[in-house]
Amino acid sequence: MVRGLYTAASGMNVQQNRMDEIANNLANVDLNGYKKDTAIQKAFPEMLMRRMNDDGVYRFPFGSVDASPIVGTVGTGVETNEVYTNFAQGAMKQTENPFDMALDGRGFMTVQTPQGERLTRNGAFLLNSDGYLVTKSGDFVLGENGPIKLKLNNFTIDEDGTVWQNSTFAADDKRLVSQQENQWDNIERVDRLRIVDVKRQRYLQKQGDSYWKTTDESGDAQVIASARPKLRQGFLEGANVNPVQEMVEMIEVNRAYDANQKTIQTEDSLIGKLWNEVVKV
Amino acid sequence: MMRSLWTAASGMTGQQFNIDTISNNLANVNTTGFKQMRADFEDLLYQTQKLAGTPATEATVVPTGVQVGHGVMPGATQQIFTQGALQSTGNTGDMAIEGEGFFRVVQFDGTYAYTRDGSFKIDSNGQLVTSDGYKLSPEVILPEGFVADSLSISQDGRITVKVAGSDDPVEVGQMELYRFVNPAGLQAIGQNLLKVTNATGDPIPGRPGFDGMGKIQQKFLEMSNVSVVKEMVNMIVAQRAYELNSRAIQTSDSMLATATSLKR
Repeated sequence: MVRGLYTAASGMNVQQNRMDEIANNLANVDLNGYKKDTAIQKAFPEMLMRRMNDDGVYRFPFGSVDASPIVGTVGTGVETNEVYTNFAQGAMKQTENPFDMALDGRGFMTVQTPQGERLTRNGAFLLNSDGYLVTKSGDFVLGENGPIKLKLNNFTIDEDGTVWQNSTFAADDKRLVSQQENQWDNIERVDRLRIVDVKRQRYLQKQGDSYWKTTDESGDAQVIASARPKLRQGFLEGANVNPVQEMVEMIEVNRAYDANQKTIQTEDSLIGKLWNEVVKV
Repeated sequence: MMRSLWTAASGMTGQQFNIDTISNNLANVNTTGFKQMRADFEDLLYQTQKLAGTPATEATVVPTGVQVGHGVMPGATQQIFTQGALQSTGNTGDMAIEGEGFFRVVQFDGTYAYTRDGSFKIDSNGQLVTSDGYKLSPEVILPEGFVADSLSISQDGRITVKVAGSDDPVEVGQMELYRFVNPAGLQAIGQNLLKVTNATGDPIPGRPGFDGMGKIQQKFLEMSNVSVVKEMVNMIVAQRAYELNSRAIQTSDSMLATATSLKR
């Protein structure tokens, strides 16, 4: 049938995919550590057009051959090729909650889930009933030597991600600490947060719950030794979604969708003309 | 139908939940011992339309997949236990905890609840009770014929009172405070009370002013720690986010209308 019909339909499908991504970005506009997604399109393979049965036909006494000169290529539409996650830094929100952490720079915090290690930039952490640092889903936040055990008012985390505590209060689980009494007389290094990076962030897979999973293409998560991102205690990283940009994109998507629809209608009326007016028996 | 409709709807529901939390904070801006709540979000599952790592040709694999998210959900509401400002009341039954810890009260069904609201009253039996009549625990019973104004509570929680006809104060009880490994896991049950859950760990009792417990300040009340400015900013953000998501729904809707009008 008329090729343009399917070309335009592929255009509408792709715009719908883009709209899905925009809606997801806007739904997560207030999610800590969210990184926005962009749908990237690619063209379908182009077809080579040749002119048939024209002046390219060589006649011989015993037959003919069609040299079919090439007239050019024609596109056949578009598809969603990739959803690209933009890892640009989000804004820092001060919360003054000691369990909130934000990363300033490239890298991820590591979390132990039942399915394996996951990466996250959503640093709204808590203590569980045993005193371990956990995420909102209850998964352990990992230091370089495993889960980290802490006490309220008895820990501090520096920019490097190193966790310090006052060992005076650390021994007894039942001995909780108040801010006033803590003199910080015996400062002790507990652990360093496992802040990692992967070779190719682009290939990380989103898991929901603010988690990313490493894939074969992204490479394994490696602890960052030098040029670590700065860890800010008492801050949260906002989503890096820019509402203005999303709105503009939404308008663009809407109009592109309309334009493709018009193409389909035009093709439709062409076919209608063909059947109803040209082909009259 | 269009996925974006539901995605944006989840965004709107999420922001509505956010506004619910914010307005509860603002409604309680004058509640004694109230602790600010915060709504935290999580993104929903991602649908994989094209899996990364599947063969593209004989020699190459598709490096990145196509994943599309399904929106957002409220992940948790967290109470932020920072110290509220202390307000002088001059009332002998009022106590504020300066620092960490909770008062424990006995509910009518005999179970314990915890609170930072120290506006205690003296009931007809001479017992210290909350505004709702819940008894302070461990129990404090004032002797008969006590002088109401002479009730005195020291910073470490010793309760003394004078009895009519005598000048010497009598010690009638010792207050205890309770702490939790994870106070954010406490469940709010209304009436300024909090309940222990599996997430908090067992309550750890202690004497006020010792072992990390806060001091008791008599004739003071702890005000709520809600910061009005912060809540207003959060409210603006939530409202705008709500609007943005409604626009996404409108756009999806108009796209659907376009698709429907394909067939004339």
